[in-house]
Amino acid sequence: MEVKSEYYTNLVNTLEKYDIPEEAVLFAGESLQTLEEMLFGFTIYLIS
Amino acid sequence: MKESFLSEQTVEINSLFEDVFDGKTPKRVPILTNIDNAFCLEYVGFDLKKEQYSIEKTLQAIEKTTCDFNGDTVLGITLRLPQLYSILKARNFKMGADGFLQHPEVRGMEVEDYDALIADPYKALWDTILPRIYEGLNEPSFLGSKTLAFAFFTFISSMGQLENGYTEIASKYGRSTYTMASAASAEPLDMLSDQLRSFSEISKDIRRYPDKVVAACEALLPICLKAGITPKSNRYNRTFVPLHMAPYMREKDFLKFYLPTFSAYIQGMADAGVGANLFVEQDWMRYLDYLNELPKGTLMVFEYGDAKTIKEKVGDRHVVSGLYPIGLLKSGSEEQCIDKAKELVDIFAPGGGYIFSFDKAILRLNDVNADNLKAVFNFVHEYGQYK
Repeated sequence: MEVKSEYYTNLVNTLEKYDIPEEAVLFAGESLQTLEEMLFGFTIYLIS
Repeated sequence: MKESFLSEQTVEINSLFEDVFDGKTPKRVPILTNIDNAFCLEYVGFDLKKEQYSIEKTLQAIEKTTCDFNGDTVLGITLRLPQLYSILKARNFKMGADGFLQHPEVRGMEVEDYDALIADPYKALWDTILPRIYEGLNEPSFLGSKTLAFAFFTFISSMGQLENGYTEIASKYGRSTYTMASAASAEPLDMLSDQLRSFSEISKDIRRYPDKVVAACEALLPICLKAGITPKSNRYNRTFVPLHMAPYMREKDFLKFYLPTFSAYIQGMADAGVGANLFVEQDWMRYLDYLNELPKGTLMVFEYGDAKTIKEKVGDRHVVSGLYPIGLLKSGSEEQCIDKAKELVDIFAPGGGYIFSFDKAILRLNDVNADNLKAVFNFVHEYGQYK
């Protein structure tokens, strides 16, 4: 069950959104997605 | 867990919990406590109005408390960061005159916000709900962005420091690295009730806008599941789920508004291999048969109820815990405290599937007599051995 939101992007969308070239996916993609996931965790904390 | 950086004793204590969650009888009844960092800060003589703002001082207090009390886990869960609430000008957590963070009832969502929440809950949180709870997010232009950046950095850096500190303390003092809350998340109706609609408003919504409430719970389910399943989550690093609303509902409302998404939530975590630690708040005795239907091996920490009935109804299928009244630790004699621990161990421990715990979180030093707490921990260590 995936979160679908205008404000949340999964890894595929993140790579596309930030225009990450295919050869840099391993280096940039994961770190950018980690930030997305951290922000999600922070959001939940704020309503907990 | 057998990571090389953990001490042998930590690995051994971890195995007590692993055995329970694997359905095996452990060598001894493990002890899992929910003790707030405020207890630790006060125990070492720190002032909540001062040292509570420092992660370093908080970890010092947690280390000393963990060292002095013979619990199986690191004592002192740090859920609330006062500096974060100050940065955000929070309405939901306010520091009292003595420095303890109080949680007044707040309502971040109005009735007219249901449709936006149902359409895109994550967006509705940031567009409408969080700015109502955190006034700092409403500051104009750069100031609002700066507030959010400060708050996010404070959260990430503080939680990172705490996590590293907990692991070090666990290994140094031979305590388990498992905790009550490796992650934490509410189930959908409780998430909707708590800081979104508030406890008092949700009861009206159930009568006036039943379809909206059901749709909102369904919309929140993926959010709750994502929050409950982190990259570190598994059968041992479990997700804490405090249950609030059900005991205050009529059974027919429970079946319509609570149970469907609650069950789907716990099942979704189980499907992902993640264990749930339920804090079964208030009296759930009339719902025990429903609890028993949850995925096998769910940990249920009961606040109230009859121990024998709980053991009989859910003890074969699930891990039971709780019921030990912290009020007794405050007012009872050492003998009375130990007698109560013996009574619960005698009922719950046979056959395994039991973790010793209290009926409530211990928040403040004044909540208990610290000598009684030490005596009970020592007693369970000795008496809780399986032959």
